Amino acid sequence: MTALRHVWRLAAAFLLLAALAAALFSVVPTRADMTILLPERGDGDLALLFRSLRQGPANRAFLIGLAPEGAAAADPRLLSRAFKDGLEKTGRFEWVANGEFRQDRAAIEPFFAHRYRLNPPLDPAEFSATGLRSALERLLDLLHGVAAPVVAEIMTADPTLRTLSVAALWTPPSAPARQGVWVDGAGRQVLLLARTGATGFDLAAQESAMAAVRSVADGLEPAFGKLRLNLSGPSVIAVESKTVAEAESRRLILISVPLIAGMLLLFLRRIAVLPVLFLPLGCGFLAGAAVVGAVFGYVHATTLGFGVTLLGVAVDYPLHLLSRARDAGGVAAAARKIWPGLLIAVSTTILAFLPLVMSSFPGLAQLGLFSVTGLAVAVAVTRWGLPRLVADQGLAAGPSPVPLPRWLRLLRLPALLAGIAAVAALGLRAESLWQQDLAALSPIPEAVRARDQALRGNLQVPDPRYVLTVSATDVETALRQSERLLPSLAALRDSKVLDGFEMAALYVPSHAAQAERLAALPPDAALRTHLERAQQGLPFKPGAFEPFLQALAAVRAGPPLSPADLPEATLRARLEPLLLQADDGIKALILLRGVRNPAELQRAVDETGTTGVRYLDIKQSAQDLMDGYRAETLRWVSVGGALALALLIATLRAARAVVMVAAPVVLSVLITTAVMAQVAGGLSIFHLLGLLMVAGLGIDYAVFLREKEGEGVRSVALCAATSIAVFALLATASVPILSQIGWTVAIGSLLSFVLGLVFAAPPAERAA
Amino acid sequence: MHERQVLRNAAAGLVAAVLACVLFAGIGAARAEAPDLEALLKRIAIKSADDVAYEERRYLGALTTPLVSRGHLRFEPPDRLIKKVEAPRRETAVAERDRLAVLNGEGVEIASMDLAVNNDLRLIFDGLRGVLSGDAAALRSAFDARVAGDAKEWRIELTPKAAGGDTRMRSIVVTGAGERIESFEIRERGGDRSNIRLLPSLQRP
Repeated sequence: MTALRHVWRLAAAFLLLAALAAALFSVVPTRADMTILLPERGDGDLALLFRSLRQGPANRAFLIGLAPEGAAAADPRLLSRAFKDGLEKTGRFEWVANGEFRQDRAAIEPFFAHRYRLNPPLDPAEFSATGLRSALERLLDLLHGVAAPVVAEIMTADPTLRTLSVAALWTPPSAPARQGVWVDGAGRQVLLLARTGATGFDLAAQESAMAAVRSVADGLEPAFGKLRLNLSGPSVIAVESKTVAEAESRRLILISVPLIAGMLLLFLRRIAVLPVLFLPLGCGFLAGAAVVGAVFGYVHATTLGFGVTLLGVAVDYPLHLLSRARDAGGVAAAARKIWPGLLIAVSTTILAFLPLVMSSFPGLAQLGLFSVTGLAVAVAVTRWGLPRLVADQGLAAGPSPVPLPRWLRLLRLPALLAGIAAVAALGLRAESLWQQDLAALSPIPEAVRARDQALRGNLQVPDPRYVLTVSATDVETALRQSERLLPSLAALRDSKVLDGFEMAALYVPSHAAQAERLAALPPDAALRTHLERAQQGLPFKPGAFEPFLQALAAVRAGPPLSPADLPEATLRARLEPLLLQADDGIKALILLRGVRNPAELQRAVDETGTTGVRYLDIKQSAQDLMDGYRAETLRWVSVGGALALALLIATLRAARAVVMVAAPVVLSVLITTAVMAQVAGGLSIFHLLGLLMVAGLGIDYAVFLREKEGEGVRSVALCAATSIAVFALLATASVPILSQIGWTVAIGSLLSFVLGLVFAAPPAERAA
Repeated sequence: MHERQVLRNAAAGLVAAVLACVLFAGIGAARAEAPDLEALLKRIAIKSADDVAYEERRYLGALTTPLVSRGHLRFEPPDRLIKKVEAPRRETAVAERDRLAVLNGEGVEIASMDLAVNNDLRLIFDGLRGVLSGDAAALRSAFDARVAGDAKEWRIELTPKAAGGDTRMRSIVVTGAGERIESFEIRERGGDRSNIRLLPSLQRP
């Protein structure tokens, strides 16, 4: 009867947990974007830039390559066009570009309408008698050719054909174009750029847009033979990372759950007990998420992912409990019996993690809060919850105590020496202790990143590393400031200091520049005289260009043009990512491509004396940020370590006991650090997270291995075996974050267990 | 001269005159009845890729004299039309399905247009391709087609059906004799027009 009652209670507890979880995650939003590198406080420019690069229109761009696999290569033009048409017909893209320069009426209409206000700058020489003469001669020449219909249509209003040079400026940065379409260096792969209508955050929409691209490519195969599609871009990478992470998780769960269950069954011999083991962890997880949600307003996906890692030690608590229950004469008695050890272990771990809460790195602060709350709740559930939920009947016999052999003591000296060697090794590579390559921290698999780089290189899409930001109160000022930089940047481009640059002022001049340029043109009456002189001897009728004279007079009398006035949404969309709305005005971005000499660039920018300009090396800034965060993490972790040690001293009171508990933990962390630094070629923040977990596990092992008569040895061995198995599996993941944490914890928990044994032995000499 | 001989000659002349009358009457009847579009197109349609020299005269309202250019037209059934300008400048336009590509003198593509969004260009190329490929149905879907003349000298006038406000083209007039197309004339609303005269080539009788 009682057993049945317990089953009901347990089932009710799980149902309650599930309901709470559902309720919690329907109220608290989770965020999955990779904002883990984002500063919360600190550099405003950089934060704005990161945000715009990640969320802005640039983030919705698809970089697409399509290559025929067969030997007989199709005409790249036909392939590119068919692909572009197919993509446009899906209706999922705001625009699709394949490098073709369209000159049809619809495409040139906005440029025709604003030809005397948009860039390139008006050249007064073109409007002199000689300038107009050569323009008219050019018209006659073109009228003999195939472009005659287009030329004839606009020539009386635009004899210098300014419309076409304005349009040319807006064509996307030119990748090597062969036969008019973008192709890669080898000339086989056609390249396209497309932008989805959905936001970069909407991964589901991005995923279905990717599926649409694939099906369009598949649809072309009957006509063009087997095709290989290369797809990249920020949202594509986000979707793929998610897919890879999900596939990895599924694989890991499929392997690890039966493995762990098997190991536990072998030991505990009762299936009914298995769910109990996960109850404290589940409650801890939920409580952690709830508190983080209440404090931060949202829970980051990485907090949940890494948090459950740090909480992993909570699975050990019910293991300790259940393995003693029978010998202790019941679950409740066992709970009382293990409580002193459990309290020391968990409070030390909590104290060690607590300072992370103070981090200005929101990811770390969330993680600290989550794990501290989670551990406290998990241990409380183990101590006071499980005795009410688990029946005493039918428990497996407890593990017989394993007296630790004396000879283990002999290993203490080698262990200490290994620790010293680890410190020395770490000291030797102090300079290169941390991974300097930020890319190595990226959650993106290497192959995906390589493909992205290749497509970017081929399409000459800037992967901006060097950026100038121009701060101003309004768009007009921002454009004026940018214009002051323009000549210097053009000169730098000509002298190959950089490959190119992109800025709003390249397309739309400031109002001041527009007025200045129009004022520099000959006045209406003079223009008429110039035109008459230019027409002499040419077969144009007198008065043929009256529309031109009228148009220019109207423009001079009309209002200035602002970026927001552009008639075409696609043109405004070009400028949006370059003119960011900040809290205190406008930030104009100047994206620099292929910077070869940053120092010279910076000097040239300084020489213009333009105010509000900042030079940013995004990679370096991100690196600095990362270094800062790491330093901060280390500082808080050191504080945590000191607090934990103080706690151990306060509770254990005897110096020897403190050393015996602390030594295995410190040594295994040190040795693991040295090993990982050596193997991985430097440590990352994720190794650091793994080391935190190693410390938590180490304390737990050390405390329980110290128990009288080696009572805890078997349960600790089981804990260690499961941890090692799970994290060794994690180490095989292709996602760098997972494999880094996996290796660190697998090695660390093995060392913690072995060193724990070494420092817990021998029982004969241990103080009672 | 022998009297009988004179008389015989006169009779012969009379017979010839009567014969001529009868013959010309027949021809007159044929001239009054214009050939129908389907039959005419069937005869003049180009069945395999073919090249022909042309001379184009462009009459523009803004100009006092017509502009003359020369080159070759090439049609590859069913829908590829290439206009290669050779003098006074060198340039090529390739219309294929919905695209018009412009190639410079070196054969490098310098521009491309989507015929689907350019009403005037689409009408011109659809009209020319419809005639060249002999696709009466396609022509009738976009144009009102009027055939005049007779089998020997005929003339097709194509007037766009949905001539919206943004269409500059008024009509395309195609003239020819027998199986031969002699000229295309593209007429615009403003009075501008362009006449492309196909020059007899060696390949085609």
